[in-house]
Amino acid sequence: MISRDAEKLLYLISLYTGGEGELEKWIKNYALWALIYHGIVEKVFEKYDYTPVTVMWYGVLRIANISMEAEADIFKLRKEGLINKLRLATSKYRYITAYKVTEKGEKYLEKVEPRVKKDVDRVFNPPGVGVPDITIDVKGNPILIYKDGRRILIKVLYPEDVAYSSSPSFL
Amino acid sequence: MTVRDELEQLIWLYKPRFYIFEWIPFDPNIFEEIAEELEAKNREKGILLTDEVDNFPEKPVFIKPRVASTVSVIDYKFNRLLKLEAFIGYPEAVEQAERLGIEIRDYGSIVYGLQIQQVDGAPEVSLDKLARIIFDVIEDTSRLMSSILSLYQRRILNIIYPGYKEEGFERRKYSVVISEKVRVKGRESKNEEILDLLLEEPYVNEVKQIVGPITSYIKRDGYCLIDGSYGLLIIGEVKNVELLSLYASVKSLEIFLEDLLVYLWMVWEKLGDARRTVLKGDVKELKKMRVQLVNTLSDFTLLKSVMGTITYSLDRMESESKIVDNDDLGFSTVFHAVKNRCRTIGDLFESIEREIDGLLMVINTHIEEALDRLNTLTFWLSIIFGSFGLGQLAVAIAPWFMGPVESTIVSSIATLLPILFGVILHLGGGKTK
Repeated sequence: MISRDAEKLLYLISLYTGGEGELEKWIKNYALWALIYHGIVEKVFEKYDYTPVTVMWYGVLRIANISMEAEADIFKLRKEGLINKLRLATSKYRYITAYKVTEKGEKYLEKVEPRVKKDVDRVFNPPGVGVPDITIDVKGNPILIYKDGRRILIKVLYPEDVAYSSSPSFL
Repeated sequence: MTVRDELEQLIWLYKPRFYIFEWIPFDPNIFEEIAEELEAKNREKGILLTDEVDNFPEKPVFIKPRVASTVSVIDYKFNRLLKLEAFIGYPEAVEQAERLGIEIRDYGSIVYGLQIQQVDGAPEVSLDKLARIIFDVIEDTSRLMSSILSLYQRRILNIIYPGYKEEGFERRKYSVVISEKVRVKGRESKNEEILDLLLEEPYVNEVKQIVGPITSYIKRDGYCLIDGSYGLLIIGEVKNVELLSLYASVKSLEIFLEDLLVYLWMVWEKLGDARRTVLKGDVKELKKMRVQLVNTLSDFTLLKSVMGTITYSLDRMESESKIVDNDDLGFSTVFHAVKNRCRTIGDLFESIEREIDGLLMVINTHIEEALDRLNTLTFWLSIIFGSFGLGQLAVAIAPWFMGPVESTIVSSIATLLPILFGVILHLGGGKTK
C-alpha cells in the first residue's frame, strides 16, 4: 500500500530524474533530503517530520534535518520497483546514494490522483515557472532557483533547539 | 530556532537519561596533562575554560569574549578516571539549563551523561524532541571539549573532522538512551510488550531518529534494547552497566576508526592527483603540490602516532572486559573486529607514508632538473653579456695604444675569451657532475 505522501515523494523524484537519450539523470540523496525538508516545511507532505542526523553532506560530516518517514517510504518505493537506488563513491571516499524513478514508477504516476501532483507542483513545479534548479552555495546550503528569478535557501542544515533542563548523570 | 514543522509525536520517555560516547586519542601522559589543566587533584570547582591561547605572555591582562561554560571536578583516579560536572551556557534560541556529567577515561572513551528533568515544562519527552536535544548536546560537547583537550588532540580531531568546532559541522558520536517508563500514543503496554510495538511502523521511524538504522534487539526480564548504527535505546533497568559502558566505548572507537580510514583514503586520492601533476611536469604546479604533500606528511606523521593510543585503548578495554561475565550485547565480537581493523590500518599508514616520500623525491628531482636548466641558461646569458661588454671595452680603449688591425684582433680576442672560458668551465663542471 503506497501512502499519499509516498506518491508525492515518487512524483517529486520523477521531476528531477529520468532518461535523456542514452544518458540517465539521477538525484543525489542530499539534494533529495533538502527537497523533502522543504516539502515538509511548505506542508506538501502531511505525515512526514524530520530529525537532526549526522550525514555526509557535500563531502563533509554535517548535521542535517532528515525525515525518517521519507526514508522508510523510499525503501518501500524501491521494494515496489518504482524507484532505483544507485550507490557511488565520491572523490572524497565517502559513499553517496542517488535515486531515479523507474519505468514502472512512471506508469504508476500516470494513475495517481491529480491532486497529489498538484500539491507537489505548488512548490516544486509552479504552473508557468517549471521545476526549480537545486544548487549548493559555498557554505553547503541548498538553494532552489526558480526560472522567475526567485531563490529560496533551504534550511536543512539548521537543527532546531528545544527548551529543556537537565541534571548531570554518570553511568 | 524553534521547531519549524508540527511534529508527529508518537512515543514519549519519562525523564530519560542519555549518554553520548566518543573516542578521542588519549594515553596516560595526555590524561595526566588534562588532569593537571583541570587541577583535578584539588577537586577544583567551577573552572571557566577556553580553547584560546595566550599569545602575549608578557602582557598583564588577557582580553577575550565572555566564557559561557564551567566545569567542576567531581572525582579523579590517578591514570584512570576523571569525572566532571559541566554547565553549558552557549547562546541558544530557546531557554536551556544544560548541566551534564563528563567521564574521561585514560583509554580515550569520553562519556557525556545527563538526565532530562523537563522539556517544555513536562517531565516526559517525545523521541522527536529528544533527537533534537541529543544533537544539541553532541554539538555543545564538541565545543566544550575543545576547551579541555590538549593542542595535540585538537590538531588530530581537526585533521579528521575539519571545521568540527563550527556550528553545523560535526564529529560522529554514539548515544545510549535509557528510560524506565515509556508511553506510546493511544496504547497501554508493559515494557516487555513494548519492543514489538517499537519495531512496527510508524513507531520504528521514531526509534530510528535516536539509534539510526536498527541492527539488532534484545527483549528479556522487563527490559528491552534496540541497537542501531549510531545509538542504543534501552527501556527498563540496566543491570550490567560495565558491559554497556564498554560496548558503547568500543562502538565509538569503531566510529573514530571509520572516519580515520576515510581520511586515509582521501590522502590516497590526493596522491593520485600528485602523480598526474608529476606526469604533466609543470614546475609551478609541482612546487604547489610539494607544499601540499609536505603539509599532508606532517599531518600524517601526527596521525600515525594515534595508532599507539588505539593499541593502548584496546589493551585497556580488554583488561576491563575481564570483569564482565554475561556478554549479551556482543562486546567481544565488536572488540575483535575493531582490533583486526587496526592491524590493517597500520599497514595502510606504512604504504601511504612510503608513497608520499617517493612522490616528494620524484617532485624534488623534477624541480632540481628545471633549476639546472635555468642555471645553465643564466650562465650562458651572463657569458654572452660579459663577452659583449669586454669586446666593447676593448673597442673603446685599444685604439689609444695600437693600430686598427691590432685593435680589431684584441677586441675579437676580448669577445671570444669569456666564451672560451665559459665552455671550459661548463665542460669541467659537467665532468665533475
